[in-house]
Amino acid sequence: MVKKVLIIDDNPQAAEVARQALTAAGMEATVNAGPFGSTMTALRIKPDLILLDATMPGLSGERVLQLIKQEPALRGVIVLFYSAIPEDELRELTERTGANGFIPKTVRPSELMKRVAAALAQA
Amino acid sequence: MKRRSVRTTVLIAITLVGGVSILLVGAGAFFSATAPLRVAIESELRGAAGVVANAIGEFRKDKNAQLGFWSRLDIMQEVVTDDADGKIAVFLARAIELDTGFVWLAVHDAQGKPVARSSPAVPDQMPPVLDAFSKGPLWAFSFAKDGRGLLLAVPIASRADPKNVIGVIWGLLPERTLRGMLEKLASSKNVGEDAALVDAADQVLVSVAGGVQTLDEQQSVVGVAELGGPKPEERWRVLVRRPASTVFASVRQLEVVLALTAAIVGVIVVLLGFLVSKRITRPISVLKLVVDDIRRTDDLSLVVPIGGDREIADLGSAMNELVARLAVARTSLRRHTESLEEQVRERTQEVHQKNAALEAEARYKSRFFAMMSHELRTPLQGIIGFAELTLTSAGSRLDEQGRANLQSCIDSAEHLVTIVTNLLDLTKAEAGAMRVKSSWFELAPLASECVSVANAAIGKVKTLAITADVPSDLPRLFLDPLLVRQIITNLVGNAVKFTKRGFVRVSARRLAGAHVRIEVEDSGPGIPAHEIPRMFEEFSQADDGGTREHGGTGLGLAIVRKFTALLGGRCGATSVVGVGSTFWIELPLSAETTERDTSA
Repeated sequence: MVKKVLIIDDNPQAAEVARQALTAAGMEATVNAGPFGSTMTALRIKPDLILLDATMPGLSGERVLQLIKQEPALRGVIVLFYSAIPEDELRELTERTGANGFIPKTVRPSELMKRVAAALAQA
Repeated sequence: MKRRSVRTTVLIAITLVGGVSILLVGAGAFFSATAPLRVAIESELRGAAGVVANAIGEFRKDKNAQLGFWSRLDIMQEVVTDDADGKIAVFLARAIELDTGFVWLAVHDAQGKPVARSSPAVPDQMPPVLDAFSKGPLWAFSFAKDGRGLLLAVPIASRADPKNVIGVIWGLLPERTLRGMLEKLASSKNVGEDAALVDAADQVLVSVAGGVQTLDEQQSVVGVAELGGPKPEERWRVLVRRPASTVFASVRQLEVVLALTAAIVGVIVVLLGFLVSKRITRPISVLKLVVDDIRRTDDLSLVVPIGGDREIADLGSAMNELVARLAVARTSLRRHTESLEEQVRERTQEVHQKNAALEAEARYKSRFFAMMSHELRTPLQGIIGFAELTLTSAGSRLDEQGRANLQSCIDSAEHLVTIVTNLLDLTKAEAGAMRVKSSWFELAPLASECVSVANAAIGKVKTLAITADVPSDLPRLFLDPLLVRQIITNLVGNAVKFTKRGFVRVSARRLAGAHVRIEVEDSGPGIPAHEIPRMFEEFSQADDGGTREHGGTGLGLAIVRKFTALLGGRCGATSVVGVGSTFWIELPLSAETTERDTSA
């Protein structure tokens, strides 16, 4: 079964890189440009995994994560932070919010594919 | 130990002093009264006896003189003729009739033969006790005690020869006459109970009330008076006795009075002591009550009443002053405390404000660096991402040169990511915005991981053995593992960059004290000694010109220095040119605190 990944990112280039990389890996990748409407999108497509940007204008990744967690229908969805902020900050953010993990944005698309696949395999 | 109250002490003292004084005064009065009393009574009795003695003496003299006068009458010469004409008898009868005081009179001749008598009651024989004829012609008179009275005898001298005693005239003086005198003495003015007339030989001539039978001074006081003249027979004495019981009745009375007085005075003294002790102790008790009240209620507005004697009043005043001072001190202390509390509140508020400002600043810095990182690296991600995606998906449509160019694009962008990351780390550490989060970890696996990553990074490009040699019995460290990993990674990366072949070896050992030393040794070109100090500065490599060739950012060792300092350690390097270099760090086994904001 094809794995569905929702990419929530306000930066279109970053979102596009991820979308292409994951699509190339045989996944069904959907982009929600920016934080707004991301929960509705998630409820609609019911993704297996969400790549969540940490720093978005208007609504932070942390806040979006809270909204996702409030939805019973989205319980069990893997959420990975995907951000260009320093790694220690990212690690700290992940631990604090209870996200399933994080992927620094600076990794190559090939590395991104591996890590997403690993996270899905672990779940 | 239970302490005696002041009141008891005062009472005991006053009672002791008073009682002893009373005893001393009483005893003194008693002993000083008895002896003079005896002397005075004796003197009094002597005087009374003297009066009677005088009277009796006069009486005796008078009777002697009467008898003597009669003995010298002419008719008394008739004694030699046995009163043949009866003139003597007539005379004697008439003399009795004249009431001369004699009961009867008689005349005897020198041989003791009765010549004449006034009454038949006169005994025929003269009592030998009179001893009238053995005394010779010169005796004045003689006397003897008779059952009925006192016999008096006077010699009759011859006219022709005055030295020749031719007879004796004698008579009986009735006892009642003398007794009357003595009775008068005994009964007069309570002088005495017994009285007696005794001669020189202590023969009782007359006595009243049983006579003076005992002269025991313990039982009686006796007054003695002498009467009579130079001759022994004349020396009579009058004795008067007063029984001791009578004499010392007054003394006993005095004793009773003294005892009563002592008792009364004793009671007065005790009462006085009671009152005095009460007077002394009552103000003290009041003081104590008030002090107890102050102690119990802690009410410093209470005032000790000023009463009692001067010292007590002074004590009360002093206490009031003390309490007042205490109240003032307490008020001042309270004010001081309030002021201190106020100050503490203000300072605390200031500190809170400063802390809040610092926290806000730290938050701001942290966010700033996060944003910087985000803003700088996001575009790079785009470059790297699209380049690699292109290389992956459309690589087959490019020629060799095109693929190499794309790869260079990726490499350059990644290098820039590394530079930006290092630069941000360094700046962050310098700005004090680096969060240090300590936890327990083992060094050996961490070092192995760093070595694995380095080995993976070099791939098969270099003929280099990167190894880790960390003893497994090294104690666990309590430090920020991310920083330690970064340090080792940077040191290994640095060594790998400059070492073309040979080895890069990570080792560690425990140092004396709670420190660990980590070394990264390489078989690289080595560094000239004078370059070593600059090695840990930013953007400095041994050979400045070689930066591009070695592909470093020039920040790795600077980060090592910063992070080592953050962890409370130090770093350094030794090197031999042409042989290799050893970079080392020394870290404490444990961070002082689990988490702290640091400023490098």
